[in-house]
Amino acid sequence: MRRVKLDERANKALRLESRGLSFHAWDNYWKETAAYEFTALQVGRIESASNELLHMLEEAGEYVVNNRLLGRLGIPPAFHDAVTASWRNEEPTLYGRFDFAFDGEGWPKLLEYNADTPTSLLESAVSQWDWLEDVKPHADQYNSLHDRLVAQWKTIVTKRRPAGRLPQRIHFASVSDNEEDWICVHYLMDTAVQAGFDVKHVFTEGLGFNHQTGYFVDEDDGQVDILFKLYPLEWMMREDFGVHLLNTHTQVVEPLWKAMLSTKAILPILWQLYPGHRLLLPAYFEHDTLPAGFNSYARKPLFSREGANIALIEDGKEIARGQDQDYGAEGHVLQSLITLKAHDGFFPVIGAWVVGDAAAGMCIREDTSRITTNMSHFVPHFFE
Amino acid sequence: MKKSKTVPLLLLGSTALLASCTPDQPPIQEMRQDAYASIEACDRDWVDDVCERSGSGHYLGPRYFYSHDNHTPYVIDRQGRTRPMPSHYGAYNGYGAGTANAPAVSPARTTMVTGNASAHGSSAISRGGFGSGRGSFSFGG
Repeated sequence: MRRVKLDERANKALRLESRGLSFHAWDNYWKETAAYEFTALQVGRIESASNELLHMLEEAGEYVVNNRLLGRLGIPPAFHDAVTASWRNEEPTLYGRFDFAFDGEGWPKLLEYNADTPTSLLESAVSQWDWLEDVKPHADQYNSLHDRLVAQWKTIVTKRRPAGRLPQRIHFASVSDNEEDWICVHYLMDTAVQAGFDVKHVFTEGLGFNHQTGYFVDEDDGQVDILFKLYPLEWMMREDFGVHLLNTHTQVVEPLWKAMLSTKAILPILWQLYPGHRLLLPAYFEHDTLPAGFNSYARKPLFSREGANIALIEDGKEIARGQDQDYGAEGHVLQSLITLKAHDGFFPVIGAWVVGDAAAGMCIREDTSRITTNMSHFVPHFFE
Repeated sequence: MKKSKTVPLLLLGSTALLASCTPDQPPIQEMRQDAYASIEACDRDWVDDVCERSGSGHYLGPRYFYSHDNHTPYVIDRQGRTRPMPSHYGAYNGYGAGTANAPAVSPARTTMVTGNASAHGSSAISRGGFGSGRGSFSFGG
């Protein structure tokens, strides 16, 4: 794994914008003056690590449900039964993304699992593939995201439904006044159209609920059979309107059981079930008894996103802190601090995508800070 | 690992699609909820619906709205079920005459507008959606 400096494409902006990536220049988000080069062996390790972690999370989810640990994961009591039922019913998932620390040596280490609302999707699936075709046409890229997403919509629609009664329309919800989310959701709509389905966008604020039918409805009172929502489950559960998740016939994607895996609390659960595992970093609940000498760690709120409210502690002293966004009321976990290797002064984090129950590709974001945020740069990758 | 040559896109990149994403809004009605200083006052108004303590220390009755279609006030219980509001409920007084006026507000309670609702024929549709927990921060990962 190495960072390679390259020339930008002369038509970079046109190429990106013509495929919908309108926000590529915000804070120099899309960066192609460099790329990360991997070996096939390294890519294979990232792929197999993703598949193995999916299996481990399946065991962890079963452990959480069987031992009634949903409260410890920060899930409100009113939703425990619904989350458990969603898990038992094996409601289908669309996607997720592992964030790995990896420097090319040994195995990737799991930093966290974005199980519910990972973004950076269009740039991962399409923009960096276009870049490969333009810049490194003879190289390869770990990227089957697009094809897998198209295929997974068919699974989501057909699973547990009789063949003659399949919904033809999928609704996609994102919050208003957020272009990045709007683009991400419209890319997913594109993949659903390619899977043969009708699609409709709705803002999360415009959703309604029909008490007679038990379905969510769009702004035109149209029935929502399947709802993809780019909005965190843990927020939905805490809002007044979230009560309708408890008795709806609408199929929600991501399903409710993903709330068990999208919290950082799953990290100490995994460590408890798989102590010393090569893909994991030691992790504990903050108020657990800690091992002697455990004084270098990342302190992470259960529901933090984009690096917010994360603090890095080294030898008992704080060395970095993410933006304050009021996360942390539900508690914290402590994850052993790993020193990322700097490449030209940048710290890369591997985003390893999964679609359904299989590894699907990767993306890389780099930052001069040791905490990856939404201001970090997206950098393409390739392998020979 | 390489699955296709060029990733096809059917929707994105279309300027027609990107130009507009604000749908026409259907007629909406206000969803209301009453806050009380004491649990006794709340229980008195809502009789067999459970009052709950809010984060701000007040006690909240269930949410309710007035259906213009049916000329009937509806109450939504904690499980999200909707039913016509019984006439002996405190909030019924302002609605009982079949008007869409706001209910009479007693000194013991404060009425809040918590969202929007509409009624379709005999079915009631609550409006409000998701987004209040968002604050000003993004949440992608």
